[in-house]
Amino acid sequence: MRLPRHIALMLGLTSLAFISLAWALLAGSSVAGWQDVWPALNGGGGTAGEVIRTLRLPRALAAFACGGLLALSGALLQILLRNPLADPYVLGVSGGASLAALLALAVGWSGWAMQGSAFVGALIAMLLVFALAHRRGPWSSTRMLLTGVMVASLCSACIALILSLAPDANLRGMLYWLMGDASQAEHPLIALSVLLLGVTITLPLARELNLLARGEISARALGVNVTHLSRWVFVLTSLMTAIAVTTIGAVGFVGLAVPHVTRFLLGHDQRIVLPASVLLGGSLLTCADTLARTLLDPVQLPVGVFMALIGAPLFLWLLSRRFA
Amino acid sequence: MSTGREFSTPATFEVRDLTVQLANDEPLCQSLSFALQAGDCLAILGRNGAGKTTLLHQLSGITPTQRGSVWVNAHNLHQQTPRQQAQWRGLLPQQVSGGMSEGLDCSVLEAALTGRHPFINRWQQENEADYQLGHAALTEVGLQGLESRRVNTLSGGERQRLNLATLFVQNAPIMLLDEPLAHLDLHHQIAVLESLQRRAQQGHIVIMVLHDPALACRYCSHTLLLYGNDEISNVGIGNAEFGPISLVDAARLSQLYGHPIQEIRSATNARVFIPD
Repeated sequence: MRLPRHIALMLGLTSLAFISLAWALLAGSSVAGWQDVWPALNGGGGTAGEVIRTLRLPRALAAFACGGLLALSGALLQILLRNPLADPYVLGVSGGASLAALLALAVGWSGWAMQGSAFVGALIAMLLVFALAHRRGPWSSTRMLLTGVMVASLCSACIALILSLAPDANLRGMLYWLMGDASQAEHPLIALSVLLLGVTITLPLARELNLLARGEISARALGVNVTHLSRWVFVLTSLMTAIAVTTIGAVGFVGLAVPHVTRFLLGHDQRIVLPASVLLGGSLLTCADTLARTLLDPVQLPVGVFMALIGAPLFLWLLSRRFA
Repeated sequence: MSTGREFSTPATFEVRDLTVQLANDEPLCQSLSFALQAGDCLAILGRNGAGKTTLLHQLSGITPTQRGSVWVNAHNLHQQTPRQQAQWRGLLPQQVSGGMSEGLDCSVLEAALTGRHPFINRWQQENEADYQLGHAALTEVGLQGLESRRVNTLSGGERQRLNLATLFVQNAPIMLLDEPLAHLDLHHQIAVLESLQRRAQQGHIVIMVLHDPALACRYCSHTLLLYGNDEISNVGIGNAEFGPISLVDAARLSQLYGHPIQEIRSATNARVFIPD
């Protein structure tokens, strides 16, 4: 906790977050320089200022917030289910959101109507998993995991069905949504406030989460109210995932890999792992989104694809180094 | 070593009319009542599946009782918050294989320090005194020098001693242990029992599930024989016997384990039990 190495790494991650946001503001087809940023944030700066303020800033903040939300959810779920393969989508939340979003697109809705239905879909999937996993007997992480996986595969079967039946005109929008697309993200405030809420709620719980990671019985023996803790963590992660999926689409990888990378670098104390995951997840998704929109400019690529393209090799490199 | 902090009044531990049952099965033990004072050390003996772990979990308050109650210092344990419970009693759970996944592993010192959790406020961090307790407990169980090792690189016996160190860091007035000698070699078995005996002499109450009646006779003051609900024992369903350790004899043990057992004396006149 008090090692200088940890403080240095946290400072490094904070700077990384600012650098990624700055890059997101500067990069793009209409070139802006450092001198444009400050006036733009204060409401001036002409065309460049307008581009930064109304297009790039909301999008960068939305990407950062969603990256943070997904990484935090992943870190929490890996403890809650005591399974290193757990990620936010394992609870079927993303499946429910995607299914509802595609249904909305199929009947011609877009914008707020589509995002609203994605959120409702996420909540329905979450309640379904919660109700099924709790129907009989005590809480069990294995049963919750299996229920989530089953609900998720049911959703993806329905999604495949919709995609194969959808008219060609809608297909492209649907595919982009499924692969994660930040271009719709014009209102980052909701995601940012939910991220802030999530961090504020979970940081005081970090020591109890440390105990839960070591096993349910020993956590109970040391005075953790495991039933309450598990329930609240489940509700919170479901909400955070639902908000992220609604804002930016189904972006994979962040929730699974970022907590692992953080633990490789910083150890297993959740007091460090949780905030570090938020910073790293946010920075990675912001960078991935900036790349996705500038690399083949003016073509905008889906950010989810880029996330995995950057993230997977990075993750594999760390994995091989750790066990070398 | 124990510093005797966090509790000043000697603890009492009382079980009233407790019935232990698995789901809708026959009861494993029925209307069990007994009381222990500070300094007592109780050995729970019984066959596999007799309900020792289920009973121990109910005694510790982490699982609810179906009938009956457990009282610590005249407070009903099951009506306390989990945190209050953890300030009064520690529990060494049975080691389950593969209980911890590889991705979620911590260092030996971090694991030992979790014993301080019930005494640290939500907004506080472990302080220097907590670290000293952690180091002292690790030294007591012979794990000094391994503080920064990952828990999943430890052997089974080392892991068991780490769990004991966590229990000693918690240092609750009442200590419940589920097979504390599992995975330990002979030297460490005796070292651990001596540590526990020392704590009983300092005023703790120690309750442990043991599988060696000879060691129980050597280190414990009381015994609880759980006959379970198996027909072989012929002592009736859900029967349990509580009493001073002298209750343990070859006849009762033969009945308890459903296997003929004879008693012999060692050169130092210690009681030893040998299965035929």
